[in-house]
Amino acid sequence: MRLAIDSARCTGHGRCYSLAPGLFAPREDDGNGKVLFDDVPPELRAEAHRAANSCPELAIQIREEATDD
Amino acid sequence: MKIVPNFDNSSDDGLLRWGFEEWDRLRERYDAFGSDRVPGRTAWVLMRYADVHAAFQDPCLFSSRYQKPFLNEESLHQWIPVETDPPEHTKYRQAMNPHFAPHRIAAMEDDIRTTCRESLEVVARRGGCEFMDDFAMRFPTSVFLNMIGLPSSDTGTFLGWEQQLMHNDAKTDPHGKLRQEAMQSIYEYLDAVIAERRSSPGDDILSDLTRSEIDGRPLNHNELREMSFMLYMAGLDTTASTLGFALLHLARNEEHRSLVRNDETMVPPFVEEVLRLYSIVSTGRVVTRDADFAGCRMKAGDRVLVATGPANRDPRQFENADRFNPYRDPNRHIAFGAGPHRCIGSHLARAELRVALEEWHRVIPEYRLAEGTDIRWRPGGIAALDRLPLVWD
Repeated sequence: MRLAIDSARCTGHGRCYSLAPGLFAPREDDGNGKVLFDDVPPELRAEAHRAANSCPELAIQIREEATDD
Repeated sequence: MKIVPNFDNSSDDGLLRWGFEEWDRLRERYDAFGSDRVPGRTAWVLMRYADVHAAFQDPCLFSSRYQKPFLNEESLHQWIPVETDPPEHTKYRQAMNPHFAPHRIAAMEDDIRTTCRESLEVVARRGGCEFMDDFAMRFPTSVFLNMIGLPSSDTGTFLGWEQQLMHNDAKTDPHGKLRQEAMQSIYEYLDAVIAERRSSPGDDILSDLTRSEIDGRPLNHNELREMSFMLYMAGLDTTASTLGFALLHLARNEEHRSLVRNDETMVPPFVEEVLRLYSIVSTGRVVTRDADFAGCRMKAGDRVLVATGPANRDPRQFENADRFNPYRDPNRHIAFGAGPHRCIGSHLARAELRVALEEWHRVIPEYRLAEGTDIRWRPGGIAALDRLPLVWD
């Protein structure tokens, strides 16, 4: 699973880093969200979806990738 | 075309009597409607989540230049950044955002907590209070003064101006004289503070702003005064009003009261649900070109009221939308708006609300509405409870 924040849409609500601090953090200069891992560890996948569904700007993109396992 | 004659959200009788439930009825009946309150142009009222969200995200179609859709007068002031549009708006926000970013607010949390305890100390001894005046207004005002480096002993002065400015209407102040006077006093006060911060800067937000730059130059005096006035206006009533709805909800709901009191990890999601179910802000926009939007045939120059209250209670977006659910997940509310004008103080507001709920319940764990209380809604751009008398044993 890959995660990205669309910086053109993010306006710094901060829902992602409040709800999923293991995956996101605020940028120092403006408080907008940044992704800590773009490749999400399996145990944090539910958290990634939760953050994406809670973003008021719909700025979080999740791409599921086919895996062999 | 759906027109509700003479509608104005700050004086509407239904909103005055029924508050959020009236917004729900209006949204389900009309989706969106127009008001002919001001001759010569229509003021459109957006209430569905999808429409409000889309309007917030489209500053090209909806300019922020004038915030009051039902006023037939143009302000001489241009509050920064709320009444500016991109690209100027973007520059102002870039200059201001760092000072309101989460790490800056986190660094202030101890001070916010101390201020909260001081405000609480006064009421806790009494056995009852009028929550809005005695705590809800006082606490954010003291935090604001602290943030701009002023003594909290000025809280009373600021509250007096705030009262004069925000709590007068066409009946009590027909020519707007009292409101003008209050505004003038606030600007004069801020002018003096800005001049002082320029010559001897401290470690407060106003000093930081005097050192901020746009287009490679420092912010000028007029920009600084419009920014500080905006911070004053936007930071006090909003937090106070939300605190009022939170405490009204808790006073009426024993289960949620014990949840918030016994498990502080539930305070942040509780705050989010308060923000959603009791969204108090209705802001304004100016239509920049003819467009069909939300089923309305809008013309350039028309105004729009963007109402977050009904939007965040829209059943098309939220399951059991009119029910309070502290476990709601996801909770994609837009109480702080969305798009480029997303409330710059949202991290501060969340911190104030969380700290206030934590500290209040440590000192006053049980309380109830005073008997015979008639709860009245004060509608407007920032809706609020008129009074909230609470008692405890």
